[in-house]
Amino acid sequence: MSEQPQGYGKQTFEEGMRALEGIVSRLEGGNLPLEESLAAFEQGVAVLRALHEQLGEVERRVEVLLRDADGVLRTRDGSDLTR
Amino acid sequence: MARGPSAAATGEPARAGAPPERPQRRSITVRELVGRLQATLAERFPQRFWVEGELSNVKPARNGHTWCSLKDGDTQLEAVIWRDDVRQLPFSPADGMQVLALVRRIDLYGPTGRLRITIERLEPQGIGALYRALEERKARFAAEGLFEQDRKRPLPFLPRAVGVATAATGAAVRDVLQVLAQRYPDRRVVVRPCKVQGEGAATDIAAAIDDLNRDGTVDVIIVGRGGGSIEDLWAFNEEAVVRAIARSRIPVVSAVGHETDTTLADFVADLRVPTPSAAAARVMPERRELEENLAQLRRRLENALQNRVERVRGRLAAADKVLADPLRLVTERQLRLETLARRAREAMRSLPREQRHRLERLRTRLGARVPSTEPGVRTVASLGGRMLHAFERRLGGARHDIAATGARLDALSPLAVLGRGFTLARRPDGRVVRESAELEPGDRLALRFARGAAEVEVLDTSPDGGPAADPSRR
Repeated sequence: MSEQPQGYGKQTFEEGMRALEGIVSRLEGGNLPLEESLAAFEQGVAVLRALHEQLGEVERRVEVLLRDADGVLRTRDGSDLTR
Repeated sequence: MARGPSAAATGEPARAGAPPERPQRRSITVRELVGRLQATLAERFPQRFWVEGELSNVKPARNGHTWCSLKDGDTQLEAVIWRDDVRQLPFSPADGMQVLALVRRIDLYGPTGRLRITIERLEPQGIGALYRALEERKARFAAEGLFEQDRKRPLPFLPRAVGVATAATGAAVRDVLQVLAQRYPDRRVVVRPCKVQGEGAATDIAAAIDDLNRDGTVDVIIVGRGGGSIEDLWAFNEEAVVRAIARSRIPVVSAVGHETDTTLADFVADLRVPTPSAAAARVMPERRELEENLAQLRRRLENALQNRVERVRGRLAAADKVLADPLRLVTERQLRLETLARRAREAMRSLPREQRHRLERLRTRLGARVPSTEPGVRTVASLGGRMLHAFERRLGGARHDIAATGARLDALSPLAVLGRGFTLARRPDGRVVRESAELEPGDRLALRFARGAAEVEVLDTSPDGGPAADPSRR
């Protein structure tokens, strides 16, 4: 069992959004040399892509968590709960 | 001491006329005595009856029975609630509760000789009693620091999966699932069903929170139930639930459907909301909104870069115009000079003769001293030409930069903010090639097109070829 529930990997969605805001603001400032502007843009595109991936992490699934007599946890489909 | 020796020997005072032989005494055995007392109790208390008192020494046993005392001031009786009756209790008995107890029977238990009453039902005697017990417990947890604000953890901005600890049936679980699905379709939800009221509810709720932590796949837990009376919600005041929430590594949102009463679970939870639906709305952002935010950031990102590039291009265009003909500056000044000279001659003709002669002489002397502008004009023309060449070389480099930038943007940006058809050449170390002078025949280059890439080898280079197409002059 892991210490913490597994996070989002390197960056949470919120952190990603903040990073992207920072990149956009820097670029909008207009003071970066062209080459750095381009590097910032590339970085922004990469963050955007990662954020879209996180948005897309979905599973059409409601699960029910159960514990058997031996204390072992297992899950079953829980789509009946929505009815 | 003036006591008779016989009295001292028998240990009892001498009585007049007492028979000298050992007295005939009626006695019964302990067993008989207990039996009679039991019979008396049964006879005296033939039916169930209610007793009013305060619970103390409450000890739930492993086998499901609950031992306790029923107390009134400094008087108390031992009591037991058998397992089957414990299950029917509307709340968990706790020390200090003022109750009405339905007594089924009174037993004098032979092996210990102690009197014990069997309680069949308990009813809290007034809400006030429940609250008193609650306030005591609350003060204890508060003293431990369990309700401190700095213990509260922020909820994840976008949970990958949501855990729910509530009854498997009923409005609460349906509401939560429905609201979650509305806000973010197809995000994973793990429900750990548990009993939310009556005997055993508290331990089951606590186990549910523990199980979701052990499972470890959810980023936030909603624990709660729909509305109910304060007795219905009592499990959420139990120590087991409070402890489970406090030790949860995953942030917990309590949603014990009650507007007016705050349970201890609400106090210890990381966030308290009044209903399960509200909990679902708080833990899950709306996907549509997030997508709009991202789209807006994307537009700003692209516009910012486009503006940056346009500004460079504007400066180049302005430089282009001036440098197109550096001799123009000289020509303009020559024209102006000629105009001034013509005006001077005309002004002179209108002067009286004497003054004209004098001026003529002065002019001749002046003419001898003023050097010709001819060599200067030639120098300016030559310098201008050299300058033009130098600037054109610089401009060529800058245009090349813009072309490369455009090509990279095309590859990166779905909007294709700059021209099409450019190819970006990079050296093996990733650096962009800006002029052929950087290259030697045999160098390998990675070319990036609007779609796809290629690796090529340099055959030959030429210093002044320049880009075939000039994107700054569309």
